[in-house]
Amino acid sequence: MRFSEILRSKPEASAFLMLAVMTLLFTFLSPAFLTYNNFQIVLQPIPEIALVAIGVTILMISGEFDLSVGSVFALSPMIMVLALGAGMPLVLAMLLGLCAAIAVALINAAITLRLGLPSFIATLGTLFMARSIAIVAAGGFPPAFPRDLDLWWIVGKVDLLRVSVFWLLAIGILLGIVLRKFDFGSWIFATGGNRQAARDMGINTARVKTICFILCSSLAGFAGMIQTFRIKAMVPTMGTGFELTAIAAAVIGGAALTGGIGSVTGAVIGALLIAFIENIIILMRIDANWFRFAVGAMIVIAVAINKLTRDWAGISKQVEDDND
Amino acid sequence: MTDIHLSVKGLDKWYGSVHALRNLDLDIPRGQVVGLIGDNGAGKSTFIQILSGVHRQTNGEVFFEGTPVDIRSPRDAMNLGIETIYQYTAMVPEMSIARNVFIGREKRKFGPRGFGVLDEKAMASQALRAIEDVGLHLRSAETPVKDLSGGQRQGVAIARAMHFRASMLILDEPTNHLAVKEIGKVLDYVRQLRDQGITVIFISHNLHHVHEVTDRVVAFSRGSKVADVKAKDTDVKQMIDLIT
Amino acid sequence: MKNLTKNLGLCLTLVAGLSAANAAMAQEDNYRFTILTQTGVDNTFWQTIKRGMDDACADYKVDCQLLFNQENGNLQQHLQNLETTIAQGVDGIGTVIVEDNLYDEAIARAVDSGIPVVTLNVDDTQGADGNARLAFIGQDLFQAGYEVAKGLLVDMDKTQPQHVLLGLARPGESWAEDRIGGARKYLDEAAADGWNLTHETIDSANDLSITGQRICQYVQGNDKTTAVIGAGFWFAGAGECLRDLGIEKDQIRMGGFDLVPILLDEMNKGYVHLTVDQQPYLQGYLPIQQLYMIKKYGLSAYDANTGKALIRPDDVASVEKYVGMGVR
Repeated sequence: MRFSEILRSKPEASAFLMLAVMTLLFTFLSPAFLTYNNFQIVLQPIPEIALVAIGVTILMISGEFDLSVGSVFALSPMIMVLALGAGMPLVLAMLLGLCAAIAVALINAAITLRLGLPSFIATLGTLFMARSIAIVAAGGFPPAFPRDLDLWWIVGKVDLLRVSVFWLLAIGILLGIVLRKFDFGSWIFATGGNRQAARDMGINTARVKTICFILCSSLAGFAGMIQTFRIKAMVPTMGTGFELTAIAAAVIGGAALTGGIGSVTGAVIGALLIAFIENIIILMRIDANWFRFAVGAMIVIAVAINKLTRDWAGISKQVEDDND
Repeated sequence: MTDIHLSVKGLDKWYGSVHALRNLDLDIPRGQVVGLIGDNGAGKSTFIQILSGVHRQTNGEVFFEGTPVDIRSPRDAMNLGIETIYQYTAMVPEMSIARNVFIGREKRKFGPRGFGVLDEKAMASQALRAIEDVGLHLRSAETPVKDLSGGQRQGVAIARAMHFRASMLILDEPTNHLAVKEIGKVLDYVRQLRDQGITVIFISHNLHHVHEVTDRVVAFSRGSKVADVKAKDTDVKQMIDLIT
Repeated sequence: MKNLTKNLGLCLTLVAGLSAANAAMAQEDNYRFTILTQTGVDNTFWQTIKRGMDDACADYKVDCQLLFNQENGNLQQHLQNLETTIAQGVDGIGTVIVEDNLYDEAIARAVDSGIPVVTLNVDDTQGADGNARLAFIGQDLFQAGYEVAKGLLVDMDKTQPQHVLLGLARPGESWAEDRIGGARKYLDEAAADGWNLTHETIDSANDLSITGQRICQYVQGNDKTTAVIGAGFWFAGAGECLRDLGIEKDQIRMGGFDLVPILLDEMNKGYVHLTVDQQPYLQGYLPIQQLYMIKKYGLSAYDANTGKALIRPDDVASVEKYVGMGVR
């Protein structure tokens, strides 16, 4: 396959290219970038961002949007920590936390699919509501985090990484396979790519979207739990604004806001790229007041390059066709 | 006695207070190419939406091969062997031809429907054979549909219907928005279908196209059937008079 | 026309009736006080202020309301809430002033019309000179920042070069700028005294995970760093990744503000060495108490500095009990 065709058919290809270029560039910009110690720090929150980005990406492929992930990211672990405080065993408490995430997903799906409101609006509403519930559940105060839990199987240290990276790999590979190799994955792409067509060809698109809402919310809840375990603290503000980071990661990874396009690998690359961008800005000691400007500019550049490379690939394909 | 493929008796459809279809009786013999004509809102779209499972009738009955049937969803219609080719072709542009041919009816290596592993090899080879069977030659079934022309897409849609052994095909405005040479191709597809003994319901605004390929012309006006004639007994001018 | 007059008459009767009812309530001392903040409802710190307010309102049997912002840090919205509250004609107002000029006109109007206004938590940077408010109850933010830097560095070796990272949690918001500004002032003074002391400020964000990340990334890239000062409590999130970097306890000294469980945990582990508690409970309790005294007995408002409680690792055991109660 030609280079331009790979760029065209694989939305994550240009993101990957960009990651390679940026990594190279950053290595030149700061000697501290490509070092063991730096990566040990940078890679820590990657599983959390990437899991949320994967969920958001899959939902975006199905043609819907979820802004509530930032709040679910706090709600699920909050419920879990409170359940732990009440003496519930760890795994049960985690399941209870996930139930809260699924409840939010079902509300999102109901508002979007039954009332017919845009999911952007529906989940904007639940973004606020879920945050409030997380605060109310805790009575306004950060609950104490139980100190003696065996958390090695989730966030234990393995040299450079944490066990959570393996959770990301396992979940990412599984969902990647479902998306590419399973009939359900095909339905997700069809539903987001042309809902009318999917419906006319006998796919229950409402069910497909509902399952994607649930998946997205559950991943956000699980990612929130990982973060809680990692920093061993629970504050109801955690994850504020996280929905935008996740959407940025998904878009950098090649997911289209219009649906039908995207990939799991892309979401992970997007998450990595955002983390690298923040990292290099800190290492380069950018002034505090310019920090957000730099992050924002880098994100716009990243998405612009992504789009331009794909456009370029599209044009070279056309030129090729005309020569046929 | 002729072999009646599909017949409807006393079919009525109300959308709220709008009477979209009024007491329609129609018999369609097997292998016939029937043209449906009529102005916008005449009821022809409502009629085919009932047959393809998009809407259900308010009153009346549908008989398929002599037995009464209840078509509740597009899947029900497809299971009977009724396939619909929509004007917009019901394709997902970003997906490959192979994936599009098998949307909703994917070939699985194993696993239940909804959680099965795709048999991509079988889908690719069968899709390629299906489009060749309708006389369309494309290099690969992996090409995304967005790279195909409008006529090619209609070809893939018809190939899809044929692959799933449709005995009855509904073509909803298949020649709209097509280039002139592509229209010729689509009309050729319809002739091929007749040669294979497939029953075809052909809906079009373009009366020339209808007259060219159909055996029989049924005209609708304001929800009612107003004429039902053999194509060779009429001409385009008379057809215009029928629907206006 | 006749109908209109009739309706108008009905309305007037209704309004008169309501005012009469209001007057009757006032006679029973049923004061209505409102406290406003620019932060969102998710700010745990303000939940402690609310606890203090609720307790005061129960003690003095007054009707209180705490108005959060829907959107964290949206000052226009905060101002609008303030205007609405004044128009409502409440008996007293407590608010934060996070921008020096924005609230001047509204507060002056309220005070002129007889509604006492005190500020809490954050004041005009020019104090009484900058605004018509009657008093400020809270921490002298700049001074507190100064104290944190001083308290954190007091045990450090003055013969060695030291590099301090300043975590500015919210660039452009006066509470954060003031605290870090105070800390910077002490550092500059110490450096002028001949101590080889350098410092740098980063946008450290206000989230345990993100702030922790940024601090660790910085420390990793600048291994001369020996102390970290945060504008809030979020810097405590760095403890976990500092340990990952192989940094021993007490190797880097960290200090900041407020009391939350994770901060106390890190104190026990030897990664946080100092925090200043500004005692938010008092910032909720005292404004209500003052407003009540002003309305009831015509007493005057007075400034109160609630934020001088320096807490070191030795104090953790005694403080923890009260944190659990939600009053510290």
